[in-house]
Amino acid sequence: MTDLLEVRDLRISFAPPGAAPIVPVDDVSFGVAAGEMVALVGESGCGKSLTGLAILRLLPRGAQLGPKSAIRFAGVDLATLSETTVRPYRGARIAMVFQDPMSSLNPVMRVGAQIVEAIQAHASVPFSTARARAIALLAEVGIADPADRVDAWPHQLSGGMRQRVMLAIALAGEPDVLIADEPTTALDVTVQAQILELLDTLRRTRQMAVLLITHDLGIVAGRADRVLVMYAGRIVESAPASTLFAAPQHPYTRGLFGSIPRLDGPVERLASIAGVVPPPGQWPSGCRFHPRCPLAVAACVATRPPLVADTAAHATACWVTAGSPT
Amino acid sequence: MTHWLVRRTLDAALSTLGGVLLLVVLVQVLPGDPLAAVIRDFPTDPATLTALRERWGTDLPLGTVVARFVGGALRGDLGTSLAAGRPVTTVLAERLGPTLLLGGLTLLVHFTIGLALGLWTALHPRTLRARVIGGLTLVGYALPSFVIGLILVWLFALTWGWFPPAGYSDPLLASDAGLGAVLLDRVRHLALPLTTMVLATIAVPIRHQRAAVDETREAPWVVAARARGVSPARLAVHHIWRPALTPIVTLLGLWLPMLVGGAVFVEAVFAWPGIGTLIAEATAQRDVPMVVGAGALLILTVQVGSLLADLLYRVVDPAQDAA
Repeated sequence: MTDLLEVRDLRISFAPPGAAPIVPVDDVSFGVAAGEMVALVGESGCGKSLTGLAILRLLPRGAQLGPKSAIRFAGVDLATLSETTVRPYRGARIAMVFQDPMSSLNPVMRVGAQIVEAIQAHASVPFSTARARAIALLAEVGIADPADRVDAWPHQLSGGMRQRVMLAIALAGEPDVLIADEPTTALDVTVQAQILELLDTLRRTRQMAVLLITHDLGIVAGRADRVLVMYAGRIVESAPASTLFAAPQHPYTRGLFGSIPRLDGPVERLASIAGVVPPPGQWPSGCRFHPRCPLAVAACVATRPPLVADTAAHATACWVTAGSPT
Repeated sequence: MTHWLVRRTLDAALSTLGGVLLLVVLVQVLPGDPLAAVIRDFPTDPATLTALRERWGTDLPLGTVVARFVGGALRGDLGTSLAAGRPVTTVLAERLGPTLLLGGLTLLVHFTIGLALGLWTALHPRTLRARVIGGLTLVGYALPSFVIGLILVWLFALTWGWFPPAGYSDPLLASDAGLGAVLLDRVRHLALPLTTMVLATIAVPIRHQRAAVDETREAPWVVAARARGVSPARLAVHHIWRPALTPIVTLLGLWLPMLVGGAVFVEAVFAWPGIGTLIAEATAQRDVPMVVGAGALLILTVQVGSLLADLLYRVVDPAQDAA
């Protein structure tokens, strides 16, 4: 199966004046096939959100894409496009929802107007038609009384409802790919489950590929087809979800599993990974995980381990555990 | 909303009343004899003085003065100007027109060109043009308004003779002149005072708007709107400028009184027959009824201004109703 969206050698750097450039995302490659749900998992600061923003060329000011970076979508390299030429792709081919539904909606615009805006951004649709479609979209994302809510202000809706509105906006352009950047992090646990359920339903009914960016392996289980684990700006492990959950290979991934509380057994003490993720600019040599790794050997300090696939689909960047069973 | 409006209007009415009463009392308590200001060294016999005091009510007890003022004000009578010898309300009405014209046009320029420049400089911060606009307006703000006025008079009136140096209209203009001629005359007389007012203060709306836009342009909803393919023009107007309007409403509320209070210095430099010059003259002449009348008008404007600003807040920020 050829990938619908293919990210190659993604490198994002910031060059503050008079200082060494900082490279929060380095050499990241992955693909997303049509209708597939891929989870990009990692701790805060690992570069996963920047990766998502880079795909739609929404990087903050000062960020630069590396010269070899390519973002191929439907035969076009989005990395080479300008702000003007990338606009037809935004929302219409690739849509995005964000972490904070509180501030991702314009507070002085009715929610219906923001959905209508998304519809009219890519097609000349008369207002009445666009409004009817906005109401239908609100119904599709599970908002009760959509004909009334379409005229609500964002502050009149709860966090979960706002995230549903964000999803309706994302669906407005009938995208082929949806990038969901921590879509449930800001929500209550019960609401989180509802939104994830909705996301899953939508991608199945619409045959829409989803790139789910999250720090929470728990929400990935049972939903994602494939998981990419990111650490300190690089992908350290990539595998089909079932394989990864059954036999994680990278010590970092194993550490992440160790820090998820299990509901089906007694919890003595939650294992966590010692230390914290170093900030970009202070990343260690070789394997960037080696200072926190219980299995580190001399090679880990000296040389960066390549991402090696042991079977067709399970790739791990580790000198010690790659290819070995758990 | 209606409930709020009623309560807010009552509040404003009470504050206005309190402010005006305080003004009446203060002017009475302050030292200085209006009679002395009129008579000066002119030899006057005591009988005349007593008669004048009687007529102007200058040595009545405080309570009587306040009661008389309130009684008159309720009938729309603010007393008689000591200097002009005419009803205060008549004089105020004459002076209000020119001041409203000058102040209104100034506010209009501020809240159109000023806001546009603020938005533009915030969206293009590192351009030469933005820096020139920022620098020049700051110089204008730093200079006293009468200095700007005098420079403009010197250049455009005295040196090049493009505009009249002062006044509200040409006294030699034929009384049966056509509408076009009258309008042209009015515009020519307005040009220099209006330019002075604008130059002296436009830095404020520009900077307020710029600061507000600086915040909204980085807002998450702007990134979200870009992510759905919204055009740059729509982005600038609906997602960056429109949410940045709230602080501007505060500014408008603060500035509405300027519409009536006028700018004393600018009106003085250009001999503009407005409320500003009226207050300056009345204070110098200790024209007590005039000072109180003009002061009451200012107090009323401040209250109406803040009431209007509060109302506009609710239009501009939909979350206000929930609070």
